[in-house]
Amino acid sequence: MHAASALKRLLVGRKLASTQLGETLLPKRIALPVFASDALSSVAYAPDEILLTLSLAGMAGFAFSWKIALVVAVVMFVVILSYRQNVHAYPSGGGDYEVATVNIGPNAGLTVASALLVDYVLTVAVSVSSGVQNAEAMLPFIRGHEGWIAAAVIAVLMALNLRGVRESGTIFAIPTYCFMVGVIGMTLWGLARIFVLGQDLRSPTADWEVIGTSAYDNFTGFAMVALLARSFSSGCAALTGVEAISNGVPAFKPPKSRNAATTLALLGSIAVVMLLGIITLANLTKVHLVDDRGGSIYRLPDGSIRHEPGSTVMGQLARVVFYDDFRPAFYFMVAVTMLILFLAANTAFNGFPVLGSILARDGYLPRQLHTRGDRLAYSNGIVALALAAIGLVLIFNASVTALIQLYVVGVFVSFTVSQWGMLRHWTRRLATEADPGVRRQMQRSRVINGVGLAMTGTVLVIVLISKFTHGAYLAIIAMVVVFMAMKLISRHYSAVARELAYRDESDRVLPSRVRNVVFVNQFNKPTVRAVMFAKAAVGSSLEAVMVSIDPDETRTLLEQWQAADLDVPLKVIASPYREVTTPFIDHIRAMRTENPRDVVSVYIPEYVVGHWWEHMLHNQTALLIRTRLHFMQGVMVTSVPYQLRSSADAVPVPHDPQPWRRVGVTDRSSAG
Amino acid sequence: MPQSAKPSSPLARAWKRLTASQTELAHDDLAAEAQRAGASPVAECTVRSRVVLQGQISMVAVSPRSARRWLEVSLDDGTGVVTLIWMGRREIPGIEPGRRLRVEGRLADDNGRRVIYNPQYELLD
Repeated sequence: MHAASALKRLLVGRKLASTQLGETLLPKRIALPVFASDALSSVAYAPDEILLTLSLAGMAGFAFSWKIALVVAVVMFVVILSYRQNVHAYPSGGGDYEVATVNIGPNAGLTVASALLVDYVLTVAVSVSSGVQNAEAMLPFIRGHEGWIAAAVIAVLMALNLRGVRESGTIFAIPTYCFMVGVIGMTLWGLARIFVLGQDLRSPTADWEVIGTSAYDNFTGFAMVALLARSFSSGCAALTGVEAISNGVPAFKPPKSRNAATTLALLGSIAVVMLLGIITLANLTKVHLVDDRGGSIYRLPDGSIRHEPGSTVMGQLARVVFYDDFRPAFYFMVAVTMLILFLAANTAFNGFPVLGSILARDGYLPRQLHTRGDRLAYSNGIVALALAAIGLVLIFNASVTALIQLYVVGVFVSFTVSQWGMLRHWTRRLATEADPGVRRQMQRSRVINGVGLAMTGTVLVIVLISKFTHGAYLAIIAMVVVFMAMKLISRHYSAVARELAYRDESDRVLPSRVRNVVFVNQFNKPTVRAVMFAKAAVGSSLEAVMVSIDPDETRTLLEQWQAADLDVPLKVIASPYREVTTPFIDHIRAMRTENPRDVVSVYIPEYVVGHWWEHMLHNQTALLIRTRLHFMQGVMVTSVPYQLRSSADAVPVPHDPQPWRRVGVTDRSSAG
Repeated sequence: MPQSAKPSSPLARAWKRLTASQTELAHDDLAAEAQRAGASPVAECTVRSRVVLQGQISMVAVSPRSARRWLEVSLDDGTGVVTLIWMGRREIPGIEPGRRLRVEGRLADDNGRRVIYNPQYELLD
């Protein structure tokens, strides 16, 4: 085995047979952490973004944080409720794309798909960036290198996923459960210390006064509404990842839909509890954040001004609750937060390639995305996602605040379109359903999806308006580009399919004559083998063709040719410009024009070599001729390989027990 | 290969020399040379007439020993290609690809290709 394949084996692992696919169906207790890490992890940055945005209005802004969190929780509740309907109605794992395509049309499906593809990339970028940012609380020296560290983390995630992470559901479960326990435990312990023990917990930034930007000095009216809307939009990041379960229904243990719906409900409740808990604790301990990009700053108690943002909400809360009394818990919280954020990025690594493969199957993306790699993962999709996300974190230097402006739009586009699709789904089903019991249930579902549509549509509009100029337009552009690209790819594929489709008898006309031509460049074993092979092939005529460049060489070759007496006519073509390819191509073209239903079959001897550098030394003319002949109608090109000894290193030749069977060893025609 | 109409003005001729392909230019040169030497262009010859042609050997076909003893050669004079066949010969010294040749003989038609059997020939270089 070569060093390269050994390295690949080490990183990626052994190849898996297709039958090893789908061995593991997930029970609820494993499915919850596998699918929930994305939705839950946003608790680690959604409160930050709410507070950051509010800081633009100075200290007055923070008073609104719990109200915004409450509204986000309500939206979350409605979305979860609506998605439970999706899971029951479409358990196949096509998710929003399928719902939109089936109920509204292919364009709606493509809209959802492009929105989701863009959002998956952003999920990776945002989660990893946030994870790196959280790690700063523990490892301060990484400050300033976030972009590269985030890129490295994404590269590691890519490698893990190429291995295929499906089998490692349990590895996922531990950090996710640790995070749940950690956040809820921290909230409870913090609240207990405040209300039961009567301690006064103050976060590290509690005494730092926040000065907002002048735009929001007068925090009333339209400016206030706009800022609250922006803050709410950022907080809606908490909802991303909910759709993961609706895509993953097939991975559940049966009854699949019921289990998926229950997991969805669990996920929603836990996320809401955690979000509200964090925001409450942040308010009680007076966590103050600033948005260094937006322009809000700290005034420290000694009167000096600080521009740098403080550490994340999670880091500050862990510090104030645990740092003095129980330090290991602080490190535990920081580590677990970081881990779950990386896991959240990993959810996208599950979702993106699956969606990509569905789109590729439907002819909207290159077919390569549909193929499973050595480890049964959609390797090409994984690599594409990783490269896009690495590009993003490097461009935005892994700034969560900058990236989150692009985020969320896609998710809500997909939420809204999918809820609209569900509404139509129920309406259509109701038209034919007679059983009153089923009808009642459907009507109830339709109301739920209707409310969901109204809610997600409203949020989408709010997100679009409040964030458009802050970066959402980039996400929209990306979605439009992806949408157009998929349209074009689909048009190309269907045009090709139309052209290639077998229609009638006229497509199976036999060629009237097959004229075999052997390309001769030197007189040696490969050439003779090609001549013998062509003699054995069916054809109406056979000739060898060589291009004469140097008269002496030509004479030598002719003597060898005649001495060998291969019983094949040889045509020697003049080459006025000392060039092999063009005269040969012209000769073939002339043979073609004589009769359009003739087929010319060209045999080209080639050496099979073992090393890449040998490739550069051999076969260059053959390659050129082959490439040019491929564009000529009615010309087949057959490569006749001759395995050089060096190629034995590359491909082991099995011992032939019956060497006398070998084709073309001797040719008796000259004896006759 | 019929020759394209001669461009009238010197400017058009200069333009053509710049844009024409390498093969076209070579053909033009061959045709001009044949005309200067008093040979008739292949494109204008009629079948069954006795012709004098001058051109370059574009292809020599070497037949195997088991086949009939014919030497078959394609002669390109820039306006078209004519096939020369010497019966009873397997090779003729000097008849090689790229050589310029002046031949005289009777033009025949063999399934659409123009052939001169056993022409008198003169090697030019």
